[in-house]
Amino acid sequence: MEQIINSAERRLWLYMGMIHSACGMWTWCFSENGELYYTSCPQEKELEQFFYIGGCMDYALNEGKQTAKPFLMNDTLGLVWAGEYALLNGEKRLIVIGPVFYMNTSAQYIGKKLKELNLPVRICVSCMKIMNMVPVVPMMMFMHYIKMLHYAITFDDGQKIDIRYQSAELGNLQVDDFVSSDYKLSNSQEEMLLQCVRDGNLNYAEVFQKIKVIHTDAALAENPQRHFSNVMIIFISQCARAAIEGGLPVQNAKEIEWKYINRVEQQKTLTELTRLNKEMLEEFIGSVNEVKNSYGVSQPIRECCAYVKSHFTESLTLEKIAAKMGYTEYYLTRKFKKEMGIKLLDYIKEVRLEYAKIWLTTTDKSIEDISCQLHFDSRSYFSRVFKNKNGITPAEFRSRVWKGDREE
Amino acid sequence: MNENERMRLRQGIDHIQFLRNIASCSADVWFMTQEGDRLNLKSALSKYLFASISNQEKLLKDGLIECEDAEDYRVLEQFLE
Repeated sequence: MEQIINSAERRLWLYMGMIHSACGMWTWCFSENGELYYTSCPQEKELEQFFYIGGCMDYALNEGKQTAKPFLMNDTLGLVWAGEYALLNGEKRLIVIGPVFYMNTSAQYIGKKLKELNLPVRICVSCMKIMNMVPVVPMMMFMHYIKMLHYAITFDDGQKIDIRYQSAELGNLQVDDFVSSDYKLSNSQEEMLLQCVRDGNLNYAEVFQKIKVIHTDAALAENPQRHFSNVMIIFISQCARAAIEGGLPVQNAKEIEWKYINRVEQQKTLTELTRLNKEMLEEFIGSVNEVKNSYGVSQPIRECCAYVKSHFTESLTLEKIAAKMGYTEYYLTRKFKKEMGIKLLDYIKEVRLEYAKIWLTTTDKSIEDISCQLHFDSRSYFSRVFKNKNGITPAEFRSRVWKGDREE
Repeated sequence: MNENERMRLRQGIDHIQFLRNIASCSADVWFMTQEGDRLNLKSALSKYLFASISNQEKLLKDGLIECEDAEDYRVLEQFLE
């Protein structure tokens, strides 16, 4: 066991077997010049060429080499790869995993397109045989495998690693989280992000990570690129509305909305859409944050609010928050009340109640679980404060919203 | 274009290098099977299709390469018989 742990090569060997067992995904080891050393892929000759044809190999051998972090690549067919450089026995090696499709309809879509283009049937059949062998791994899961690859190579915690995204046209922007990258979100994830936009919560990635919602990608879109573009356009409009609710002037929100909707159509790959999605979220959240900050609240109190919003699922005490902010509890609570017009403890409760509403409407978590996860002492206490704030109990609130959904 | 201006692929070529050299060709380059199917190797989609048959030696051996610009045969000469 110790031998496995101490050798990156052995860890990678184990990793290769593990991910293949988990989802049939393949691992590749290249020299730093792109010479293939070994792979677990039985169709290595064909898929190595796919790696090259889609521009992924050139990216890995050039831009990818500039970073000590993992990088995500994909081509216009929707084949997705990830890579990271490793030092094995003193030599630099490029380790690649993939290809995968994010959606089970991607291969079908390629098959349909090939038919429409009237290309040689016999050759198309060979191509489709290979495409059908490519495993379907939802984006979120693929990100987990990338973290595991990073761990196998470096033995470092992959939780907060940065991932680079291949970008065909606009250079390669560093993306410091991949929380926001999965824009086909579950309702719960979507609502959480929209709440962060309303709040102008710059720590949205941190909030999101704590929720740890993993969804399966069950979309049945015929054309994945078009489908993701459509989903993103809708999400941009939702973000614009949330930003207006958060205090951003309508005209500013609309300008940002149109800017990003136009840019969606210019993106050629899923990774470009992913990067754009993150950029869009950051602009909305940053703009709302700026508006909120201009209301005469001091920087320490703004930081205090941001801290509460990004740690509301943890046990928060005044002592702990004051220590984080570098103030005494007495000074912080008085300053908070003076500037915000509300007690800090009440503010924490308000934030939790807002997120409770989201969980009640977008998840099937029990009220008991929600009250527990939001650190209300008991279900009955949670119900009482919820009713005081909203005029109805959590159960009634959930029932009304769900009933409303069914009636629609 | 007459038959003499089409050339066969050598066996056991480095396919990735072959595709790299095609990118340097100035005009379209076609791969034609014995059955008359044609792939334009300057097109990305056709490159995927060509890669898909890279293990089918007979298909490749019997196929022909045709460059629209005769100068491009020089670019590919190491891969052609």
